[in-house]
Amino acid sequence: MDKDADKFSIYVVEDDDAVLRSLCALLTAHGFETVACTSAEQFLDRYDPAKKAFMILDLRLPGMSGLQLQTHLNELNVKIPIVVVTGHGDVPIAVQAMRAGAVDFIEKPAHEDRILKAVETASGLLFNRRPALVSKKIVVDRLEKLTDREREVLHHLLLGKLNKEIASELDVSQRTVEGHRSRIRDKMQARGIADLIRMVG
Amino acid sequence: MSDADQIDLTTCDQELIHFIGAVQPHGALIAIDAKTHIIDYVSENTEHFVGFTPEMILGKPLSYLIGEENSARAQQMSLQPSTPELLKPWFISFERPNGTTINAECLPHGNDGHVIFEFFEPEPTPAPVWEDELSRQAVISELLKPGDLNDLADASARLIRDVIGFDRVMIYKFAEDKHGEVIAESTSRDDSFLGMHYPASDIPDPARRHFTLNVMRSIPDINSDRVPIVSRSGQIADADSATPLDLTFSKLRAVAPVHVQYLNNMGVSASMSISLVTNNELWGLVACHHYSKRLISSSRLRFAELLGSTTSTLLQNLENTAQLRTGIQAEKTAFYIEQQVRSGRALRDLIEEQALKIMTLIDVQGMCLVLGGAVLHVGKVPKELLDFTVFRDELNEGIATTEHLPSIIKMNEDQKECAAGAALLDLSDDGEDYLVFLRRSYDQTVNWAGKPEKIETIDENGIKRLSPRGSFALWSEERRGKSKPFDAIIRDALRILRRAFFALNSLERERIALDAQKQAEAEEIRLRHALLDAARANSLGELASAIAHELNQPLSAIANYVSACRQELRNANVTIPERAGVLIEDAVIETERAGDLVRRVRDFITRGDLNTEYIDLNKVIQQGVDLALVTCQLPDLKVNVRQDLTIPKVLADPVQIGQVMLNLARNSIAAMKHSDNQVLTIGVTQQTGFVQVTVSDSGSGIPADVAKYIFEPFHTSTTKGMGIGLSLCRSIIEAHSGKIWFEPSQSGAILSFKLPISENENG
Repeated sequence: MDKDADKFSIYVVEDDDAVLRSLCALLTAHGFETVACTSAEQFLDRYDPAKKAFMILDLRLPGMSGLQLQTHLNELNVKIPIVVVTGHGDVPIAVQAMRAGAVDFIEKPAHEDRILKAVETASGLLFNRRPALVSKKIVVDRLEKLTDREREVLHHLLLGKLNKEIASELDVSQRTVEGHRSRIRDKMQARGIADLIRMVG
Repeated sequence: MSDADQIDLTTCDQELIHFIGAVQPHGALIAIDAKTHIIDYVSENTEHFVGFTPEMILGKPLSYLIGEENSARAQQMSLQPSTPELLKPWFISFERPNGTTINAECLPHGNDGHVIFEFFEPEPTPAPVWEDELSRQAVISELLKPGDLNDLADASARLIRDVIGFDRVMIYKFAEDKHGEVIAESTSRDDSFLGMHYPASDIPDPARRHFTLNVMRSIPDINSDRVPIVSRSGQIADADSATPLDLTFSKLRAVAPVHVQYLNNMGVSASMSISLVTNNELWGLVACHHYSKRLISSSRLRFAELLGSTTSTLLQNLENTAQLRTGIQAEKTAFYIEQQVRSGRALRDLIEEQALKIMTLIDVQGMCLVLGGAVLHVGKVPKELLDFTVFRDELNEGIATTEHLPSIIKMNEDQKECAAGAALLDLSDDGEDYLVFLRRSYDQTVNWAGKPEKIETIDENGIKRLSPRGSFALWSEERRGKSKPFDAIIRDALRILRRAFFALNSLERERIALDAQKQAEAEEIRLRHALLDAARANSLGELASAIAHELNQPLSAIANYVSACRQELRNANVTIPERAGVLIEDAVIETERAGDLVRRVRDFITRGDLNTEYIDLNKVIQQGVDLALVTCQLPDLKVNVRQDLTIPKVLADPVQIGQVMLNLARNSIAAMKHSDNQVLTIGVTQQTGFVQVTVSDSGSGIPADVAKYIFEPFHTSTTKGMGIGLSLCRSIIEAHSGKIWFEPSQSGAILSFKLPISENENG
């Protein structure tokens, strides 16, 4: 990776010390420069707009929450790409964050590959390498492959609902919802919900 | 009062019929001064019956007429009138001036300072009436046997007619309103008066008084000439004279013109009547009509009188028995219902079950029961329910009766037909519950006979007189739209029923009130349990959620560290042995599996969706506070709940929001445990797009460093629990798309939350 030419920092905002240190260690091991922040307030304190940087932001923070920080930055017109990190069950908030402009989101605990992929997406943006946008036509074609039921499930997924909630709402088993989800991912050629939101959200 | 009534009152009632000053011609009257025994009055026909002309005996002592011996005997007789009085004839013999012997039948009686002797021609031989074996048998078997009032009256009428041989013998019964009904008839004629009713005015009060005092009245020839009674001064001793003679107890008294007209109008020529008197009240009358002249012999007259008084006594007994029977039946029904109600059955159902029995007993055709807000109709009732409010004014000891409801409340034709008469029983003090019995009008129950004729006539003096012939028509006119009256027997039965129903209804009301209270208590307990259950389930879910979150952190860290470690080795150009590489990857995969496991556990425990509905936040908040106060151990705590009754409803899960309020209130109460001033204030206010609830206390407050974490799980500061209460509150409020926050305060703590107002419900 051509790191010297594309120099940038990653702000990691995470209140849990172990998570913060381990994530920074992983990113550092991969050659990225990290700035560790234990709260939104600390980030605001340490943020240097002059530097090229993006942020990995835990949404659950004491004091100012991740979403509030994102809103705050939007208001300040600070254009820093944000990868949000959530615990399982906070997907609705993650979806909210995606709609508010976050570039990707990672669910904890996340595999190394998933983290690196998100870093690649975010850093790409810093250098105007936008993720290859799938054309609208292709999206429409893919959507047409979905059954009515799958489209219904997709709708719920985009609202950030959990499998369990969708199952209860559609009166089917969770396993069935999981099946629908996997087929939706295949047909839409999406890796996860973040891709789906980017395509149709 | 109708015009017809007035005609009657101004004529008949004014006639002083006991001062009529004349006798009928089938006997002669002589009256002496009770002290001096001087003959003061005589009828002008004395010569025929006693052999002396009036001029011969007026002013003479009695002994001059009947001799010393008879005169002495007369003085020993008990002659004061008594009622009822059976005829006690004195068979007297004395000598005329010409020496021939006079045999006469004399009826003496004393009245008003005079002793009146009425002389009749003696019977050649006494009629063998009582002596007749058959008559005795008939009296005993026919008169004494019947157990029914109508049967008795029938038997009596038949026997009397057998004895006196009249064309028609009728038995009248007078109702409480004094109108008469023919309850029995024995006749040789084709027409019948049975079942006919006569207005009270047919027998005016003076006549009624005479019927009571003088029970026997015989008029052998309606149209015979009256024989005047003259006094010593030569004047006729009628009402116009200075010294009229009181003929109240006279058997011979001449017939009043109005009565003559009455009988003539019916074609009657001879009449006889026997009063049926019970307890000094005129119960009824045996009225005998003959369509030609008929003089009855004294012995038959006496026998008829005996039959009449026997009938009176028997009728009274039967009536008492009937009254008793009705009363007993009412008591029995009331007792049965009371027993059933006490064993748990509803009063309403029982009245319905017994309705026909009760209605038969009190002789009504319809019934309306208004009890506990429900209306029950039985039998013939109007299509449109009547409003009995005005009728309630007539209530006396909980009962009102009327034979003419339309004169009390406004009614349409259908209502008038079903409810000419009514009896209202009040079943509660507040007037909410009542029972109404409806009687249809007489028009439907009485067989009318004859066409209405002229009701009044003008006599030779230009005075309006009632035509008795028209009386039935008059009565029917008077009765039109009225029901049979509710008489004493029925009113007694109504009192019995009302007393029982009223008591049972009170009992039932108490029972219902108690049940309602119990139900309210049960509902409160259920709600409390639901909230506590929710609290428990929520806590567990929140706990699971919190554990998942907290465990995810170290799991993430482990995965990150292991991955970082592997990368650092690569960075240091260490070739990771293949097996070590697999182990590192396995370690990472295991952290993911652990994370997955935690999620599944959490998903399993966490409650599903919110059960949202449009709720009044004021109410839910109050419930939450009330629940917190149940376990509150601060006796001096002051609680202010400031509600805003104008707030719109919000779409929320009442149990969950109640849970939030419960937690907040509990925290506040716990924080005030050691405070001198203990005030918990809850305010509900409306803001643009939101309804806000603010909970403030006067407790120990929350230190700034703790305040930062109060909504995080396991950061316990105030409560001795697991420290997930506020975290739970946040989860719930956020699930409602609301917000919860803490505000620092000079004294105590202020926690607020707000919920969005849904646009759908509130526009």
